[in-house]
Amino acid sequence: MKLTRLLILLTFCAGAQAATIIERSVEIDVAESYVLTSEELLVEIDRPGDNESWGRYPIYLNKNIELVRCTAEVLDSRGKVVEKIPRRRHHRLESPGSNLYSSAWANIIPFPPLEVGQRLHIDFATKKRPYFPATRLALVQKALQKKLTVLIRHDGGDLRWRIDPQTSSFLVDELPNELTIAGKDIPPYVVPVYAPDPDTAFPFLQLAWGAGQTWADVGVWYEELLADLPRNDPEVSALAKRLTAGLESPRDQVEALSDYVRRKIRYEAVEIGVGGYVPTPAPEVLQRAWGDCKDKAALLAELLAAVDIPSHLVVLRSGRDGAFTREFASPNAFNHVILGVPAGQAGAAPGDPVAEGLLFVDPTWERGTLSWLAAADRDRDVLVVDGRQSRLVRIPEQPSAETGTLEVTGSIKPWGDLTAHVRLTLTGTIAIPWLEDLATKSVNENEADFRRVMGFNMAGSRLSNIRWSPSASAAPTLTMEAELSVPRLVRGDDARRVLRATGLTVFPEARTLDDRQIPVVLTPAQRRTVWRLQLPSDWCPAMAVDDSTENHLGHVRTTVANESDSVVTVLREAEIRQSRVEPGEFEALGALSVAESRADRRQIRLRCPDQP
Amino acid sequence: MIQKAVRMAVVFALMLLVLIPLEISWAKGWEKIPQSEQALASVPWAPSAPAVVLFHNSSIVLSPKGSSSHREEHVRVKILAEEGKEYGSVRIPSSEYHRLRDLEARTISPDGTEVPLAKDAVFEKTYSAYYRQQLTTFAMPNVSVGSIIEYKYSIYFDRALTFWEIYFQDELPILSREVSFEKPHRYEFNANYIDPAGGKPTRETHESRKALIVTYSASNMAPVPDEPFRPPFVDLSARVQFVPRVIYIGGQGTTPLSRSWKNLADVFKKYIYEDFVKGSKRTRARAKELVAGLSTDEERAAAVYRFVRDEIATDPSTSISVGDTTSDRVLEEGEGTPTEKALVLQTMLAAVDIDSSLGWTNLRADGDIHLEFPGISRLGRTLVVMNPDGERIFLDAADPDAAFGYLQPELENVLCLLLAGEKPDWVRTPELSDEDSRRAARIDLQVEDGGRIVGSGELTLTGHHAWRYLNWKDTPDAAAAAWTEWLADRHPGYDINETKVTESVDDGHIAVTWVLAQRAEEVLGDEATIRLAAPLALQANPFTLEVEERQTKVFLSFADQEEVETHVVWPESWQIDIEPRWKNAGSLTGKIATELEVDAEARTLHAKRTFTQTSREVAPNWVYGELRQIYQICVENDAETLVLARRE
Repeated sequence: MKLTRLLILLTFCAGAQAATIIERSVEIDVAESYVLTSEELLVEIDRPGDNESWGRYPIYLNKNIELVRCTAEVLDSRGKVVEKIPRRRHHRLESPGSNLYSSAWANIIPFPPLEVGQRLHIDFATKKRPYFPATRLALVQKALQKKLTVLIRHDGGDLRWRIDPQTSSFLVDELPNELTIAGKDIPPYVVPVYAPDPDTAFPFLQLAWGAGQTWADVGVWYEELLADLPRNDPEVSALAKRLTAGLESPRDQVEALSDYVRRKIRYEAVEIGVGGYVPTPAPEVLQRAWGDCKDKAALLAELLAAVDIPSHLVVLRSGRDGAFTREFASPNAFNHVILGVPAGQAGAAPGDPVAEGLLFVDPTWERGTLSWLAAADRDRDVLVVDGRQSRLVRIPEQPSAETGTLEVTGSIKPWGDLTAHVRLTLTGTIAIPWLEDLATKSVNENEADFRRVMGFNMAGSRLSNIRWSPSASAAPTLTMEAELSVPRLVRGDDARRVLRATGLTVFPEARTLDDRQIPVVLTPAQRRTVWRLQLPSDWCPAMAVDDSTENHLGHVRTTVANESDSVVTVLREAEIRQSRVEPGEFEALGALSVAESRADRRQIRLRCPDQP
Repeated sequence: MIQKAVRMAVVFALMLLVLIPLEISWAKGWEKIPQSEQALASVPWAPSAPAVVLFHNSSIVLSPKGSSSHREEHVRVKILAEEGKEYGSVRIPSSEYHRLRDLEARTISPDGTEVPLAKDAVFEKTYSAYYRQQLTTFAMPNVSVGSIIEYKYSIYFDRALTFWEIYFQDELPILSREVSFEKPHRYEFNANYIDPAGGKPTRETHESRKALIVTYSASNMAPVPDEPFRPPFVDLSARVQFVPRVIYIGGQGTTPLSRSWKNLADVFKKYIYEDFVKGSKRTRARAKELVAGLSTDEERAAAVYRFVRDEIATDPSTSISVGDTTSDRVLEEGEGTPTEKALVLQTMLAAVDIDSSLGWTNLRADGDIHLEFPGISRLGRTLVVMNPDGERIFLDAADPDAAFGYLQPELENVLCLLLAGEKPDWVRTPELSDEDSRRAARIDLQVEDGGRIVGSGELTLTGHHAWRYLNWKDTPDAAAAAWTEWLADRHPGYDINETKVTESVDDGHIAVTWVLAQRAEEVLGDEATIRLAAPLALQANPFTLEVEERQTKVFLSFADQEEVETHVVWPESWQIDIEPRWKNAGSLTGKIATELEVDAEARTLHAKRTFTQTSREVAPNWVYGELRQIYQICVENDAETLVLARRE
């Protein structure tokens, strides 16, 4: 299902330029079986760097999208044609990304070196035969649009449209067979850090027509696409029975089968036309032992069926931000396929990723178990494909699935240096790249990575005897340990000593929220840092601290406590509970961010009771 | 006409890459997998390798007819760990001039079952219809730990007289590597085997009536170490070169090419560059206009240089050849390759009576030039070299950020072949000293009575530090915004405002000024902590490998100096809680000099630290240990803070 994502990204890349779009005119003719989109652009090159971004203009095409017309020319500032770019000089650029193959490609118009003051005139039309009767158009581009006109004509059938995010920047005029959208001086979009996907954060037009108006319709459409897939293949059935032989509980059976698909079928994607939506037949995936998300999910569904465990394909928008418009049924937003298994028949347990009676399993990830769902799949709406009962379900967040714990246990020398044992435990999605590196990189390289991470948390520290171990726990887990020395961790003299015990951080800096208009997208997670330090016996104890900030988005807590025998314990905790933070919640996010930052900078004071 | 044919032949000779499978044909036939390979579970001398190349055989066969020349590749890989399964996906580049044929592949499962690669599992991506460049991709079937994957293919090409450089090492360990080279007797090639580790391959020759076959083979080739700041792969890997000693002239036979550097230079000058500069009437006229009114040679040379640098866009080619064009046409089109721009510059200098020479060289990242092996393989950049007063001035008009006489770090201290004169002359390009490339920050901070820290800063960049950021952004506003962001990252908790940037390419200089103020919500009220080395503080030691672990020498970008000078003043109601401590250090690779002055009465602190890195290349021995140590001290120094507290 990655094709959809690609097309959406490509649509936005088309606007990923500066300069000024003096006029952009788009005409969309919607017929029953195709969409003809004509677009005309007049662009002014107004700074030297524009040459780099406009020198190669892409038009995105695929098996079902053909370029029917294209003229491109360079004009001087008075509008006189300087150079025409004939079609024979256009280049073909294959789809970006790591797919083994995709039929998506871009027709590149190669402009000559452009000078400030020159203008580009691009006029092209594409004909698309959509697999689902819907399409979309980005209304905001990275360049300022002085004038935008979008005209949609349709043949009288039911046309639905919607602009998201909702905005009053565009004038919309709706007639019986015609829809006009106009705008002036539409500012370019800028993508700040922690931004949602550009295609959901900035206004875009969605169009749909025909019978498919509900999510159930989308589900039915998808099931019909899969209708010709072979079922009940004897080899698949035999494998399922072999893998589950001797396993009594349904949970063990589901675990065994999903584990097989996770680990034995390597991820590799080939998307050709509608093949971007339709899985490869399960026997073929099994035989070749590779496939993409939908191939792996469909194979797992067949394996489960062979042992009488039902399941449903589930389509969703994977990634940091899974947002799409609930009010507008269309498969265009989706880019990933997982599986939903009735929780009762899968033997789901408390804490498993379950919603509305379904246990969600993502066999694309090579690591993890039924208890763990990757962060890229959680805290979002998904479409459960189940015929007329197809429906949107929200997979809940599991902040406890993404944890990082740093434990430092050691002693302070009389001159302030620390020698300690340090253990870093990472669980969840964050652990996966580490685990992959451990398996593929040299010992030296892994040590270098660990030192770097620790160095950022404890500047000036030295690590030795570094070792690590993957863990067989429910979620991907990695534990790294080392001996640590930090010069001058405690500073000062008898009269006044301070200690700075930094911690793993999780919140963005507060300044990222300044003047921000679009949501922040984060990865829900928990972080915990524990310092347990033996002080010299003649030193004063630490001044106790118990600071806490909490709201619906998460919490930050710092405690400093003295135990017996001159041991001081510093505990720092932070948690983010939701992935998408709307502007109305920025105050709450800012409070947590500031609390974390201040706690990280605040010195811990060692004072005797009689000292001021 | 002959010269043009030679030029095109050289252009083709430079196209080293492989080419297009318009239609892939399929080969047949496999050998049995030996039991020893089936049983292999790990490589003792590369225990963490996720896969191992059991063998990789390359066979180059040059045909007297040219068009049936081909290269055969045969690779067998064993998957040793789950992560090694990624080697089951293979990508082969090809193009119109290098056609892929006879592709055949299979997977052998641990139980010995063989699964051939299906024809419909092979995909072709066309990257450029214009240049007919393609990538053939395929995913091997049924790959699991313990599987053996095997594939072979041929690349057919028409131009036999091509330079070949074939590597004997890769990111995976290789148990057996063999390269054979078959050429008709009438083709003259030099064969050079280079192994930085000093290894010697087995070399065998076989001669028939029509051809000579040379075969190099080596075993147990370790992966090239993937260490930070290592020299380029092309210099670390063992490799064999086959260098043509003649070049084909269409319909006219051959002419010597690489018998010597002089010979190579003569061929280029005579057959390639001469034609280019023949059409230079307007170029010369333009040069004279540019220098009108200028008196000294240096002023005139600088004016011409700036024109070529700024008014002719650089097409990023790495060829020392030129296209089918002339100096005047490049001038008219306003775009040229580095070599074309060098030729235009040299022509212009000659027009205003300034002698100069072309100089062939290479970016450091593209590998060393081997003087003992004449050939174009490692030549990728053409400079212009003046020698007005016995001191050479190197000009790189292809670099839009290079002042007159400036060379970017990648072109420093590299070999350069001067083409002027009867006998070409190898020289080394000059290198800036650490004092020439400086980053200097001056920060003035004041703690307000309420505990808020405010102040201003100035950052000055010269030499290579400036070059890195010259023309960083398109407009002054964009540059100011980018520098604001850069500073904000290095002053966490502060707002950065009023950022002003002045920069000059011709002076090689950037100055950035700003004001900073602690964000209101970050003010603690009773405590203020200042990191004195911000904004140039080193966060972590980049040299993490222990001395005994490091295998490759360290390649640093350039020698430099980084200086931070911070002045802090605080009000009467505040006092120093904790003073920072800094260490001085010195070694073969650099030094750290610090100054720290506290005036409790005046309530001021003045701190200055200078980190000088004098060496650009460091051997992986005790000297590396010194480098590592001095960086560690710098990190520890930079972690130090001044802590101020409200008087109680």
